[in-house]
Amino acid sequence: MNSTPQVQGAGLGLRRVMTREMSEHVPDAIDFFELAPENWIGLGGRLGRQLKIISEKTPIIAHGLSLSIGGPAPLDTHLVADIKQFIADHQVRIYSEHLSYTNDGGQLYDLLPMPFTEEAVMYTANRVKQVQDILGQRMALENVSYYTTPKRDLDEADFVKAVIEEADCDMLLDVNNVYVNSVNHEYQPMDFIKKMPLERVVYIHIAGHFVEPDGLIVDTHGADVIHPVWDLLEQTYSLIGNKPTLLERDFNIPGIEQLLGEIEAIHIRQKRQTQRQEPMNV
Amino acid sequence: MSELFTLQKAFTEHLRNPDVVPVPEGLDPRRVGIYSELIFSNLSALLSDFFPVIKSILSDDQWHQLVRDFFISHQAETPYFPQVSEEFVHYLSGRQHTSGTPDFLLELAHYEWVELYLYMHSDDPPPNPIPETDLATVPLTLSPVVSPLAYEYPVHRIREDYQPEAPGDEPTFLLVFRNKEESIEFYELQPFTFQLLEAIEENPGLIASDWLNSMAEQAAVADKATFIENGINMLQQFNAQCVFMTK
Repeated sequence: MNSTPQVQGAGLGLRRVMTREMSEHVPDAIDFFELAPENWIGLGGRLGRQLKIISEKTPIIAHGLSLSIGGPAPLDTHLVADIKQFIADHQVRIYSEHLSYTNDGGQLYDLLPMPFTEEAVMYTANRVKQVQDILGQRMALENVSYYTTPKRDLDEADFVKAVIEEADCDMLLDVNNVYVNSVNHEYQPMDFIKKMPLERVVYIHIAGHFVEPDGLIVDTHGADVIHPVWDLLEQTYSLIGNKPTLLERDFNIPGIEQLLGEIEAIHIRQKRQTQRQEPMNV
Repeated sequence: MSELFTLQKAFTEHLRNPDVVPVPEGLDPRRVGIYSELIFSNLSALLSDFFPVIKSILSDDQWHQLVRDFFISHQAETPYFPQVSEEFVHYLSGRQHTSGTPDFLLELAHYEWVELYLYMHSDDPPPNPIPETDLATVPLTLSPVVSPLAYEYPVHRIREDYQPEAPGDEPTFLLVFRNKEESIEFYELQPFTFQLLEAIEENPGLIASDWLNSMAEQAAVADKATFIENGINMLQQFNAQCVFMTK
């Protein structure tokens, strides 16, 4: 199976509102972009051309939304074939999806919570293997935020780890989701991270979120990253070393300058980690 | 059915129709409610981007019912977000109960969808017009980002303050196209012009002078030469916008 060239440093989720600006100039701080292939496949005109310009100069990660890897509807092999073509067209470095489902025979266009059962582990892992076979390359699965699950035979960490190991795929560790879930389901976020198959982590997500009036956190990617999540990112680096880290921002998108501030905050933590690993001679 | 699918279907059946299908047993309604709100607000946001005119003319209640009914009575197939616009037109065209929404809704949705479709289409318009002197005699096709359209309602004029209750006396004929600046433009067409453009769309490779000639004969036009010349001049107006290609 081909191993695709990886990315480094800090990246930004590419949104349509940014494409014109980014096709003219990519700020130095942005080492890569991540985008949802389901927003871009088949897209021509101005947007399609701007994406081509961007992907020719900056590495792209494809982060899927509609594959419904754990869902009851048959695997959408047309989608997988289109993603394979998209990966080739834009030299996509990593393809990731959510450990979740979106389709019950029709698309619901949102990430629904898997039952944490042995059956779901085997079912999902087999579908990941099918996708990896079609693509001829590995994919990464992301731990999602969830608010409830229809069944909890396994705990969340054991479920996520079991699927990824059974599928023999990579992992996208979403630190914000760990934080959101740790609050909503009352556990220690680092305990969860330590249980993950960390040797399989190929990149990390970081994002902001909203807190509901009753304290429940809804993972909206619509706010600035909060301090506890930055701390969690730093602790993760000290556990597994620097990993490429992507800032997700899907709603309430501020100007690029403000986003660059958060990108810079990723770089600062990566530099600190490098310094911890290589203490200077004095 | 496996336990997994049973659990998943019970969950999504509630999410699709939360006012009617109860929350699956044992789950916290507050937490399940986050999902039903999320899928609703995601689709609502997507559709209001795609159909700004429809969003602006429906009341909040009507819009809410439409988005909710999309989940209840439509199985959306496309995994691609831009194509959810087309799913919505499919949904509207198969809708059983249309009471409470304007009769022109489906036509308006189709028109808004065509604009999006042409804007996002992966093919580009041809870079140059066909040389004017060739226009009458070369095989013509329409550019892939051009669409001649006929509606019962004047969909291109519908706004919050203009909502016709019945179809117009005459159909509305439009040519919608992506121009070289990659914006979407439209022309209102005379019935005869629409007929010619539609003939080109349906018969790629049509020779304009032949078609005009046979139309002139059918209508027993006295001055055939002038008739054909007028037709070609009319085509030239569109040709300048690069809407034609030679086959």
